[in-house]
Amino acid sequence: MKNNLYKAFDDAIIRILKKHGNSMIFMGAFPKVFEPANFARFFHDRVFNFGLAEANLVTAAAGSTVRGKLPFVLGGASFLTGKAWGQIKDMICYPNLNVKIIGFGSGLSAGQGGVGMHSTSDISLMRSIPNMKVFCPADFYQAVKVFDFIAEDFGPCYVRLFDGEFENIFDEKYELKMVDRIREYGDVSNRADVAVLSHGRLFSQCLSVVKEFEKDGKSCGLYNFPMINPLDKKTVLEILRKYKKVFVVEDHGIGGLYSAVCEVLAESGNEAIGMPHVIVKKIGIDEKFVESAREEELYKKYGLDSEGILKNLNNEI
Amino acid sequence: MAIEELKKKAAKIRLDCLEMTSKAGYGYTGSMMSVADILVALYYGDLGRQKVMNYDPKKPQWDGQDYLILSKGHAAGALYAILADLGFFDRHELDFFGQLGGILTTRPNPKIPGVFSSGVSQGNGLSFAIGIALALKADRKNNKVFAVLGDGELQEGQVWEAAMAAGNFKLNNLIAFVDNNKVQSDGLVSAAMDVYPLQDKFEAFGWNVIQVTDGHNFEQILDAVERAFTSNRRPSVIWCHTICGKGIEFAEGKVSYQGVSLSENEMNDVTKKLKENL
Repeated sequence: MKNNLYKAFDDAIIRILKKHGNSMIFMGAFPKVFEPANFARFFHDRVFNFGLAEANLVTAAAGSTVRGKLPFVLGGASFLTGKAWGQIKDMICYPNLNVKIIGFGSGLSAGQGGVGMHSTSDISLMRSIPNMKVFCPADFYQAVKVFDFIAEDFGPCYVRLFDGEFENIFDEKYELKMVDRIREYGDVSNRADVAVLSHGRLFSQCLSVVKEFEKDGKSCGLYNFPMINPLDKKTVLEILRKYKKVFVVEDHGIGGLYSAVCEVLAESGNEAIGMPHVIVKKIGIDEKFVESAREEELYKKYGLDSEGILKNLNNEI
Repeated sequence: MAIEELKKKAAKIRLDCLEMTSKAGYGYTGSMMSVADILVALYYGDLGRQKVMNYDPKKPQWDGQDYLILSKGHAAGALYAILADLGFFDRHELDFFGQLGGILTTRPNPKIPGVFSSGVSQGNGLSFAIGIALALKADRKNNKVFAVLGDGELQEGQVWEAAMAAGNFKLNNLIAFVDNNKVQSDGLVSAAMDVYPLQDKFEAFGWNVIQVTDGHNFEQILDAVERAFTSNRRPSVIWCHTICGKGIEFAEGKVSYQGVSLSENEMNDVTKKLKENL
């Protein structure tokens, strides 16, 4: 069944607003995809629209925590993390306030909206701030679990949501983990060839690519990272030892999961502690501004659809 | 507190500020002097039977308290001196203002009892106060929120995003002060980037604007607060004309004393005069 993350948010937040009487919604200007926003109808006395003013929006949300509130900030991923970065750093993360930032239209989701709305630096911007946790759910069920988790967890969080409807990957029994080991091969003494690490929108594409390989009798490791900061460094190190080549697939520029994985590799001191030689490559969007075109066309052009990813990996397996 | 007492209290707070900044070798002396009387009026003043601000130093998380956000964070020393005097924390902390190991950072540190917001960069305080005011409205509470802004700070675009939002949400529980001392770190405000006319700007955003021609006159400040308390469905801004460096004769109105601490000689001179007012 196909589903989208906005529906997940709407479902989860209604439950959260009911359960936590102190929760409040601070909305920025809204994308049209949020038509079925039921929470705004049922809880209008706790939902405040701030229009197009991201800096004011996130700072006001921070202010509400003085009265013990649990504020959720909604807005475009690129605008919240870009325009209000200083406010998120100074007014939310420095005092470590319990503010949850939900960014819509991440990656190239905004498609024809163009460079201003494309959000390919948000993970990097958010994970560089101390105290901030970064989540990138890959499907409806994972997103619901992420929302439930952040409502109970204390501290600043950023959740990166994408547009579009995709097949569900998980089901209602899914339990949130820092890393989902979807396919796992190899061990330290007998290393497997390739593993793919991904998150968010591109994870479902990676899964279909891996399934294609399996039809041909080939095997490829597959890991999903719903939580990018803090990163499960132990698992990343384990993956780096188990495979000869590791691909990170993400609709993000410098500073995303790929950078985080490379930081772990660099910190490991490589061979000094017996780390075998491993190649870490990225399939993503580095050092370029992307044109304004339909979402699917953009993902296709930059090799971030299942065909593109398959082609990239085919040479390696 | 009677007006005469308020004047004495203000002299004491000024003296504390000067000692703190002089020990630290850092501080916005001129700015602390200009805002001191506004803060003293808020924390110690009363309107007949009613106190201007409700707070309890023993219970910094008290549900019934009013909130003060010092948006012009560089004047944090003045706020610290008052909070220490009221017993929110130990007075000895003032000796370690802006020094390694001390809790009193040069900009408001939200970990300190009585301080609610981080004031590490300018232009954020009014938005933060809006968040508190909205939360109070959601709780159907009548507590007040005060935000104290500098005039140079009004150059920040976020202040006007906040001004628009406060008018839009009709936050009559929000009272902003503008400490209009006409000076910012690189010179006169009007020379750097003119922020006037303030009256028309705030009124256009739906605010009740109250002008105080002498921001060092307690009668005028308290009268303005009283008028702000009765504002109906509108946030209020109390626009106070103040003097940068007020209380230090040789520094009054001088740009060069806005962002520095005093030398030893200057301190000796000023201390003597301020002590006469105690």
